[in-house]
Amino acid sequence: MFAGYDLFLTKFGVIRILQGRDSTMGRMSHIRNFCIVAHIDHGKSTLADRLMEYTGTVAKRDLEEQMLDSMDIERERGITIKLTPTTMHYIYKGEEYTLNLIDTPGHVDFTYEVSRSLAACEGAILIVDATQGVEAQTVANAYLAFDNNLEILPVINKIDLPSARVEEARSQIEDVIGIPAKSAPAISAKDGTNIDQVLEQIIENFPSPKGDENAPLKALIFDSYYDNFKGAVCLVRIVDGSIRAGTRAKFFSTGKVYDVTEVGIFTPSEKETDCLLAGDVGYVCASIKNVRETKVGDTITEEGRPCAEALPGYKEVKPVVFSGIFCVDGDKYNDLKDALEKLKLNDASLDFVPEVSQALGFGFRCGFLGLLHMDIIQERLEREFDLDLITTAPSVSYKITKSSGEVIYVSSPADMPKPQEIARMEEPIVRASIFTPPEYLGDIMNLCQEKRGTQVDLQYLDPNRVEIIYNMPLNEIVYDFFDKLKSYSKGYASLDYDIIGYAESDLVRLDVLLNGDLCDALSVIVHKDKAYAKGRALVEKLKEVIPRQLFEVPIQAAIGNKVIARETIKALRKDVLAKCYGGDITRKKKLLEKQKRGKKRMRKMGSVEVPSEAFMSILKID
Amino acid sequence: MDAVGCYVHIPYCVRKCRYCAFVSKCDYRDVNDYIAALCTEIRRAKGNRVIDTIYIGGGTPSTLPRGAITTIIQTIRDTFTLTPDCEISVEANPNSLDLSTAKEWASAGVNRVSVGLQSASSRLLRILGRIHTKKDFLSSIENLKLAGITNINADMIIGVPTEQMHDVEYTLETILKAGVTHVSCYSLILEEGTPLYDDVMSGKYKLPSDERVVDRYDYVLSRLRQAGMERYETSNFALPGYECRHNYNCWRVHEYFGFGVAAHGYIGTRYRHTESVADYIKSIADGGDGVVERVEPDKLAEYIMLGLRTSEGISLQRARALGGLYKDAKASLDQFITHGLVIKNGDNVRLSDSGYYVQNSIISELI
Repeated sequence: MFAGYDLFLTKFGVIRILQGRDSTMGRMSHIRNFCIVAHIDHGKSTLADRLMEYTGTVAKRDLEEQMLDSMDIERERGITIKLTPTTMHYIYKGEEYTLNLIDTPGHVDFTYEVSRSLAACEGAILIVDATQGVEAQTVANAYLAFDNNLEILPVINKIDLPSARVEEARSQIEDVIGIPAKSAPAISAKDGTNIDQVLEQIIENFPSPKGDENAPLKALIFDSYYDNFKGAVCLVRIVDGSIRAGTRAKFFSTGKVYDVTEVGIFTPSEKETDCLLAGDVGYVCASIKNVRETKVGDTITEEGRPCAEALPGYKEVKPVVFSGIFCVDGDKYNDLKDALEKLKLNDASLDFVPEVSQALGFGFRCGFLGLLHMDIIQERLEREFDLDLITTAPSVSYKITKSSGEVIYVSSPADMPKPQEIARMEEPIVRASIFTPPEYLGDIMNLCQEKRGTQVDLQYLDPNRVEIIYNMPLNEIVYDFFDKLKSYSKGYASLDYDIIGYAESDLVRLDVLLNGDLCDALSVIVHKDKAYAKGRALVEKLKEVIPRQLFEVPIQAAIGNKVIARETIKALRKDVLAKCYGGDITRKKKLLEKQKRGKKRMRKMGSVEVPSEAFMSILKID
Repeated sequence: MDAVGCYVHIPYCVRKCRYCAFVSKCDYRDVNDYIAALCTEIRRAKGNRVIDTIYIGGGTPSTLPRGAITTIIQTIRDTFTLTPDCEISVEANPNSLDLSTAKEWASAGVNRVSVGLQSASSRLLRILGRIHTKKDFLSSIENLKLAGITNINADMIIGVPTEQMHDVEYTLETILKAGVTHVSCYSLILEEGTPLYDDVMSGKYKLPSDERVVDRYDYVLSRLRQAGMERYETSNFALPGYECRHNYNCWRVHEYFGFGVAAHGYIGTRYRHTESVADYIKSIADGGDGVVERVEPDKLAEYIMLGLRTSEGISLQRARALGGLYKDAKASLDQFITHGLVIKNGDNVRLSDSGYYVQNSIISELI
């Protein structure tokens, strides 16, 4: 059967292979495209590594190295952010199969990317940690897989741990997710136990790709990254037709046409091939200068012979969380700009525009897919580019209908129109699904209530696990909801959320005035009912962290012209009353100059000096 | 050519005070060699300068062997021209100022003596490591007056651990009753490396809060004004006409010679001497002057920094002539004026009473 494939790899490739439909079908029947989905920490990357090792794709000694290549932050958080597909070969019952593993990010921020990756597959391995059971993202990912009509293969992992409860996990999969789990492999990805069972079931249970090599080209972009030499590299699943170097490739969403310069597969490093055919997973390069032109979910076709319609499911990814990013050292603005541009090369979902703050100087307003995405970008800026950052409180995108009827979206408090110009304000609402052991239910429900949540559902999945669903404003989640959820539940509760739309809300802009001057960087958009508490907390914290100044400084929290909270920093009474005779004029001058330099690290807000450290602690308050 | 001042440093003390970080030593064995070297340095500076103030500080000049102060002053007289009304100040400790010393000084031409009382409370004196008593202070003042020296300063320190308001009142009344023309009142500055610093760091003693110190200083201020003294510098008060001219000239950025170990001087450049007596003696013996560093003066910064210490303040026009205030400094200055920390009167700018307390913060924004 594989002879056809070998033939295809010769220079006459396409023509030869297309001679017989049988060989086409034979080739595709030996391909399995699948992904692994799991809740964070349930062992997705470890299983992926083990599969590569068992199929001889990567030698064990190289695995460590390969792992080290990935970003530090991913490794530290135990989550995979970037998708790395791998083509593996496995001989089963005497026949060789091509297994294309498409890794998916496990975090809610990247749901869309996950969904496009899933669309490139026919099957999904659903990992459940035998010590943790089914979690919020296990369910969310399983549903995503259902939505994409994937065959699901449940796998129970971490059976090497003493606290593993395999049978419990099995019944949870059946009860909570609703798929049979009787024959789910019970494995230890760490030790390599029963990995062969997983490989067998991939081949036995997952369908082979369907598609027509002779049809016009139709390929799904499920990810892309930037390479300094090749430009933007598209990760693709060929649905119909074929693509090779020289193909005039047309991108549906942008209408742009490029000359394909190279195609290939991942082993897991890039390996150039002559051609990619229907059913294959690989990469396409076409000297594309910017990853923004290679949009995830887009369809590639051939200019001369286009397919009738694009693949379904494409959407523009829009940031949902926003924050201002500034350098502690104002002179580093250009470094920050360069760093963001470098990150953007590889991250089409990162959005940023210049922003000027009176308090913080020149910086950027950045948009992120979610909180994790925001954290990752901020951490990478600090670690990889050695920048000291000040970031403003995260915000969401509010929909404002003005009195004039005009509808605008506002994500920066500074852009909010005056109250009298606003007819109606709406805020994004999420459907949050929380899984928790029952003993933390009360605290978590209080937390959700406090965060303006409305309960939608509550059900016991089994005696040890409750699922609660709340509709909740996104702006309540972006502060510290996740941290609180984790601390209230001693780390046991898990969260998944989807934005379900906008809802009208009574929102106000809360301003902070220092010595009567508006401190723009501290303004936040909050619900009216929460403004008082938030204002009080802000002024109290400011009083605590701002050092005494030479004069009394009133700190006020205000909505419009109405002051809702006030504190006062008393004036500094004395700095020194030292002797100063002829003897120590030079020394004295040095001391004064040192004091002056110390002030350079301060942020001047109007007439008040605030240390950068203090500024950051203010932004962290609830 | 303008007359200049002359500072002479005497680096000897019978015992080092527990808060003191000045250069001094307790071993008097090389004192005669030191005085000889000092006089050599003075003689080598011979030129056509006129001296209008002499200040012999330390250390404890009053603990020098009999005749040493006379020798030093005579050497200066032999080397330079002194103005007829030349101010000649010497520092003294209350317990080492007997009548014969006072008389010797008076005949050498000393016309102003600064007595280091610091406190009249024996408890506070012990914490400070002072070896004298209140009684010593009273008799030293009496001795000076008997010798005909009536221009007398008393030093006092506030902000000492365990100090109460009544301690400050007691010290102040003691000084005023003794009848002095000048008072220097400092708040205690903890200097690293001193025993008192270690005591505070280890928690043995606790310094009074800034609030307390300010309250006490406010009291000192009003009591001294009531007694007819004026604050003419951050921590110096005098009856009209009794300001220390030597120090005043330093704050006015006038030039002065500095002679001796650790002495700083300003003749064209700012310079300082070695802090080691042995090195100093050797340097002079080798034909040198013991100077280890010379720095070009930053005239604008010095003018602002020193001028704002005094009640005279600074002239904006002169500051402009020296280069002018930075843009930010001008904005800060306006703000200080608005908040009553700085008083502006036409071209003149000076600190207010509340401004004096935070002068480091103010000055550091202006230079």
